[in-house]
Amino acid sequence: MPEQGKPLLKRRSTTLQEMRMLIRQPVLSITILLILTSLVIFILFPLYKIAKLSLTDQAGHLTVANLINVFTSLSYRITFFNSLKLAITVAFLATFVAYIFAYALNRTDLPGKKFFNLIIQLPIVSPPFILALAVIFLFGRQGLITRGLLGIKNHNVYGMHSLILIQVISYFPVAFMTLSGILGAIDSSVEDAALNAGASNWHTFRTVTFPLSMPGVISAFLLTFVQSLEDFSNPAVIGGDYAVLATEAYRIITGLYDFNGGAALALMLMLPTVCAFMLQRYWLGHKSFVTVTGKPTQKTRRMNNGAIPPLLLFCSVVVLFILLLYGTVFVGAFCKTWGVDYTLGFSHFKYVWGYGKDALRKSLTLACIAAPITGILGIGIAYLTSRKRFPGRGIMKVSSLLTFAIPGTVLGIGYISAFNTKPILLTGTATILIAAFVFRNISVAIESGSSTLLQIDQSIEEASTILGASAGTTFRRITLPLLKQPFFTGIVFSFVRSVTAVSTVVFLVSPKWPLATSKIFGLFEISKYSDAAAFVTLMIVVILIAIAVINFAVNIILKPRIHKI
Amino acid sequence: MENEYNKKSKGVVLRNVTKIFPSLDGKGEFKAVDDISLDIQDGELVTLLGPSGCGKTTTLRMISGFEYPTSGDIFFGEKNVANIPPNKRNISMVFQSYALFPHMSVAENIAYGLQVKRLSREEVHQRTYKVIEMMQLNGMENRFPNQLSGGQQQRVALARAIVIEPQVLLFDEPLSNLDAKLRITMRDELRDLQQRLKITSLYVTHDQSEAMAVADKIVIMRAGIIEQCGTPQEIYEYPKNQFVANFIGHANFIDGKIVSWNDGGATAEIMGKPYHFSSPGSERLPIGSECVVTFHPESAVITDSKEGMPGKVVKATYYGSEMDYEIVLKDESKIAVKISNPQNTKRYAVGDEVALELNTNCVRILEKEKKTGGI
Ligand SMILES: Nc1ncnc2c1ncn2[C@@H]1O[C@H](COP(=O)(O)OP(=O)(O)OP(=O)(O)O)[C@@H](O)[C@H]1O
Ligand SMILES: [Mg+2]
Repeated sequence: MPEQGKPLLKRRSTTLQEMRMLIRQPVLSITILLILTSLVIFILFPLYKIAKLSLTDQAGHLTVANLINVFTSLSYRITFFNSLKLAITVAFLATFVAYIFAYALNRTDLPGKKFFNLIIQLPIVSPPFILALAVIFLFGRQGLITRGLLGIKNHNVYGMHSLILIQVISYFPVAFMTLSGILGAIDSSVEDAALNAGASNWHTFRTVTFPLSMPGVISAFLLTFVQSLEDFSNPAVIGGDYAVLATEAYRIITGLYDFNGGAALALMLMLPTVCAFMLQRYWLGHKSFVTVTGKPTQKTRRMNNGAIPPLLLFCSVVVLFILLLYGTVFVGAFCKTWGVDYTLGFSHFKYVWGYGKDALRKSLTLACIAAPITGILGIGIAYLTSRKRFPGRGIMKVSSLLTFAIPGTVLGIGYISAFNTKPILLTGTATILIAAFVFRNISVAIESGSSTLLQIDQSIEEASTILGASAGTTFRRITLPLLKQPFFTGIVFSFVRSVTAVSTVVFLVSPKWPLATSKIFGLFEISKYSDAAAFVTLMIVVILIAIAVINFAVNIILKPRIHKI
Repeated sequence: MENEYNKKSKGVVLRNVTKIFPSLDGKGEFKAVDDISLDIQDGELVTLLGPSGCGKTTTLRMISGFEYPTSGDIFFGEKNVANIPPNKRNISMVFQSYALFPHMSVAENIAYGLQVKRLSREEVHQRTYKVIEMMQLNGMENRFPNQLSGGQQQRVALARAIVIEPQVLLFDEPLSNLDAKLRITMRDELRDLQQRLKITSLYVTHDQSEAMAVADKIVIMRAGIIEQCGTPQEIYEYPKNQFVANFIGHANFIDGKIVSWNDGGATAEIMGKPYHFSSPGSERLPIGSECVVTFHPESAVITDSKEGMPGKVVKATYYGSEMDYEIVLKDESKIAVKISNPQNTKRYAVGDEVALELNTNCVRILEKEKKTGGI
């Protein structure tokens, strides 16, 4: 028997013990080390590079001139306020439209809900440039409406007004999903109570429903605000003279080769996005879950029958307009010369096939490589940060949170400045593109993984551990099968976003590794809009097929089977 | 099979184990377990009993390896397990929530621990079905956990824990999710199984009758420290202090003063009258000091005689097999009295003036606690 009478409170350091435990679980420690290393290299190091570049001059001396320049130079200041003005306008309008949709679809008996729900998912999954193309086709110099119907010559479609229109349509569906979650979960008995107390419908909405959904409104506003700020593709092709931070940074770096200035702009772009992101986290984290109890309540009371006709009118107009936009691009892809010769044919597809076949194949290949990596890494990070204690967990948490908040343009600038010299020389390779895809899109896998893990009782994993399973085995045999859904979400999302990425990849594509989106961007620059339309149509088809294939594969791999023992 | 378990199992020893958590506001610290030492003999079942938040689960989790002791050591047999991760400790645990793997069938759940040990297919099969048989789970091997009743889930959890023939078996309130009747059946079954397999076990509960029914030894905890450790009989009959006496048997307390000690017995003055008690317990309080006279409700009777302590009935409840009275004595202390088989005795009603007579063999004398030992 062991000796008695040890000295009291000979304290052990927890960190030391965690370390010792890790040494005894080599697979786990190696995994943690790999993930930490990859996060440091692909998230923290590029950000450090941006900070360093923006604080040095071209000769490498320490200076704050770049930052001061951003604030004092009139053109930069205009750019900064352009970005903010656009983002605030778009966030306001998108939240407004989204609120009406969310209210109509969740709290009234609106007819055709399924149809509305389906159509407003379109902007979420579609490739970039589609709406810009549609607006050009409809309202441009040869526009069907401006020129054809109204007979206006030389209508200038480029500029802030088109940007607002396109971004509102692109981003309101995201706001809609946030608001739907919250409006759908408000217990109708609260409304009933107000109605019973004699309040009118409108009064009930104003004093009960709306205040209860306020966290969702703020969250949706911040979400769309960030997306508008981050957007590169629309300002690049339809912004015209309306310069915003994302496009300006691109112009300065690829046109003027001024990395220091570009980095300073990237910092300026990061400032509002990171702030908005943190605010959004705060609101969603602290407020909304109070009303969204997660407890299934009885069927939500459908009220406001008098409000249905105006709601229906509004939703129908918006949805019809969306259909018009998408339809226009689809038809445009088949028309010989838009605005001049509307004969249908496949000429643009033929051209695009020759022009972009290689790039499309490469886009798909890289996305196929990146998607599973994103899914596994994201789920791994979610698992480690929410379930394991180890030295370096703080770094992992912070850097994984950063992946939510870094705009694509900033990541692109970070990568091209971090990996263009030894020791990590990656520019011009497929690796840098894959890494960009992975770390640009990993946040969704982390998010859905973490929220699923919250719902899985931790003792299930402890049961596996205590029965003798190593951390790796527990993860593979217990956690991963239970995380099937978020894993799939992560993979599909990562795939779609990789194939359709623009803002990050414009900095990273090379002659050897062209990508589909950069090729479409190229078509815009030489005003070949019909070819671009054919290209995006092609991409939609390819993406839909790919989603079906991934869905099938994931289901086969992770299907629960009874193994006879 | 019994012998296999015997060979492997050895006792568990805790030496001065302390666990300090950073407190929730992040500033201070919180001692969940405070310098406890504990010996669990080979093949013994020890229950940890105590009010909520007293550190039972924390103690269990340190033994299982999910928490590290802030100081102190834990030994399995001769081996210090400080640096052994939970999956290498050769222990099993039955969780309060059962923690069955929802995506695996009953047989897969049970076989899991054998599979991760990389045993041969035949051995996995043979041992899995042996336990399925033992736990009467035949015919359910291909069901999923959500297709089982609570009691069946509990059995699967137990089967999964014992199939790997662990050196130590840990239970964290394993029966608290079952209804009262099933809890009694399951606790007998569980005790039976443990006796047959002779696995060294630690069993956490806050139900005292469950603890009495299953344990070889009971450990009473309060606020991170061990108040008393002993067999159920020792704990019940010779509680060390008011807290234990109250927690394990809802004992009565009457204030008194020590008058004298004489060959094993003691005389104490209660409300001005001396009483002699033949086995007052091991603690020798100094003569003249204040004490509490402690006895269980069934160790007293109420009579009409002039001998006992005078009091008044304030509550009388008839249960058929027994009758519960509440008496208020002259010094305002409230006394519970339990009369078994009330058919044979005189019954009293609320308001009756009565006398309380103690069975002097069953009375213990304890030190008066500063604060009352409330739960
Ligand atoms: N991870 C932790 N961090 C901080 N405090 C903790 C932690 N785990 C437990 N505690 C605290 O330690 C104390 C003991 O907790 P423990 O879970 O061991 O209680 P218990 O005896 O099992 O209670 P119950 O009967 O309610 O299960 C409690 O006050 C609890 O709040
Ligand atoms: Mg507990």
